[in-house]
Amino acid sequence: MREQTELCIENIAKKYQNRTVVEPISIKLTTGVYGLLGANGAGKTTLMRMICGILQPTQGQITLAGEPVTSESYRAMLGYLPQDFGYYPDFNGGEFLLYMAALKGLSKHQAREKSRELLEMVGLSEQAHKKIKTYSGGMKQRLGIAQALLNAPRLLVLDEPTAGLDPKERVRFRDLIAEEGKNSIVLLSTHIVSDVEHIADSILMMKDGRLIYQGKWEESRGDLEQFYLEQFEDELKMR
Amino acid sequence: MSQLGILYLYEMKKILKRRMTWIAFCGVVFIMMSLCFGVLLNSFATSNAQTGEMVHYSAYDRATQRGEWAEKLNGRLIDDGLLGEMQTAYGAVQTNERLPVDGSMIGTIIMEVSEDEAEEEKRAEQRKRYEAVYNYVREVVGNDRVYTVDAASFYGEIQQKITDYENTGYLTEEEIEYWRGHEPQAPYPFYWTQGPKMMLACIMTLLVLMALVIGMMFSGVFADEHMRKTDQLALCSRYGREVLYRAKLLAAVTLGVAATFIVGGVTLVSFGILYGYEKNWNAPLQMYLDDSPFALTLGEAIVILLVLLLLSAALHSVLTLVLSAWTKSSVATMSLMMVYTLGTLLINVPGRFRVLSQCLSLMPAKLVRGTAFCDMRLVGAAGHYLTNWQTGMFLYPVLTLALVLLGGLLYRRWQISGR
Repeated sequence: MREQTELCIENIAKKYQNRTVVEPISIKLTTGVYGLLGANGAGKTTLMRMICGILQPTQGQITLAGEPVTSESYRAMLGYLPQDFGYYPDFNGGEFLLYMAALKGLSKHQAREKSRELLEMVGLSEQAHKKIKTYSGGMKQRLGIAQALLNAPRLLVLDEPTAGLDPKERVRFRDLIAEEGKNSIVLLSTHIVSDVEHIADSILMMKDGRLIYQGKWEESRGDLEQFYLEQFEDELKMR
Repeated sequence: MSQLGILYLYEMKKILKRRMTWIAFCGVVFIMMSLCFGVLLNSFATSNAQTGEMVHYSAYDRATQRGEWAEKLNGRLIDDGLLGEMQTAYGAVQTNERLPVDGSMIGTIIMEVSEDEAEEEKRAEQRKRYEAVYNYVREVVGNDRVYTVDAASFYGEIQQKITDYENTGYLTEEEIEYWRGHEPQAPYPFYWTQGPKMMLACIMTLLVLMALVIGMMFSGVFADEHMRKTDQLALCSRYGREVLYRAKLLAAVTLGVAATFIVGGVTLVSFGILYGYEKNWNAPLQMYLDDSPFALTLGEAIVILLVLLLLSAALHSVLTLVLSAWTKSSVATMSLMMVYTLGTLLINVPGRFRVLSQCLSLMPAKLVRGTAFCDMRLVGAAGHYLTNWQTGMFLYPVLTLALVLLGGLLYRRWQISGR
């Protein structure tokens, strides 16, 4: 069991000229799985990018175990799976993980061990020597999940991680996240309510850049999916 | 191996796996090989005025034949004795009003033959022996004076050219004073210098091609990460900022300099195989640049230009990376590299705008060329004067370092926002 880690988000906001994408948000997250819900354009990805240090907030501070988001030690504790990202088409799956392991600071030996273990875990061992450009969407997503876990992160940020996965893979993936949540802070963004209903210890719901709900979902409030649909009725109708 | 070393190898691998890298590199090697060995394919024909018979031979045969005759005069001082011998050999032709038309510049040579074949053959042999000296002297003093010039006038003409440049180059009093103490040695020896001359003439082409190739090879180093959206994975990794930037930089500089070294080396060796350097490496620079006061040998000039070429390759590699990080587009980066290279090559600033003109002359496309690296304009530094090529040796690493810092700044500010 790892020592408790705390992610402190203080008064974080993001503005682009006159448009506010994320209103000031302050939250503290500790070990567990957090489901970040919201319709497209709610500000989920922007918030996650700020938490990952790849988008500078207009205001506010983010620290993980006391380390600022801009520091190398913060990044050493971070695992991130973006919503939409590419690969190096000429690398094979194994090479890609070894490269990512090098970026994350693993030694050669650690990188080989961890890559093998994770490829096994996401079911890509047999395809490890195939070029990534030959992988299906689901296989690429699983490889993305594997790279996020390479450095045994204390903060795991997953942006729409189940997109592209088939139902069987989604179930397997939920179990994996639940397992990770025992030792790490897992922030999971999705607009699929059932994904978070099963595994999230706590819910964060965003609308128009604001955090409109935060905490454990209480059954007394009724069905989470119903609440979500009511909140995002207009946005969902527009799709 | 440190993390930097591991990432450096991966970045090298990424660049080397790009098809564009190999197409550009092989393309430039092919072009340079064509420039070197094209002479084997070009053919010439001479006609016998009497019989009308056409004799065909390759440009290479022509050059090597000339070389064989000319090398017999290697090391002879260009003095009254040598000039007189040349004029005697050519004078006979002049008397008979049968000036040979040397068509080496236009691809045909017409040789007229005397009615007395034996006499004509003797004259032709004499002309061949002194043809290289004749051509060289004619370049210096012009057609009108080649048959009459003596050593004093010959070196006077050279000194006059240097003095003329003091005016056209808008040299300062201090610079004129400086060069008064650095007059070229006179008389200097004659050498057959085809190999070094060809190499010096090719350096500018080599620089321009390599700048474009480097632009193609490294335009995607940062831009492709952005286009593929892999930048977000790298940037939130522990070593995805400073260490990765350094690894990318080192990989690009290594490959840029290595590619230039290989292409430059292949060109140098090719001319060496064709014409040889062993007898003319130490020939005075004035055999190539008659109006230059620099006390250099042709070998030294080649080494200086190759070093400047490699320093330029490092500069251009880093410049490409900075443009790639700034534009986040490989097409835009390649376009900007092309505009920069061709722009600095083709734009000319008149000498009267002294500062601007001299600054432009220090740009690689202007400086790294056989005819321009030893400009007489000087750069004052800490009580000393540096010539243009000496300034380039110092300036290019400084510019490279400045670009490294600028690129680092851009990369540190790299944000993942809407695409």
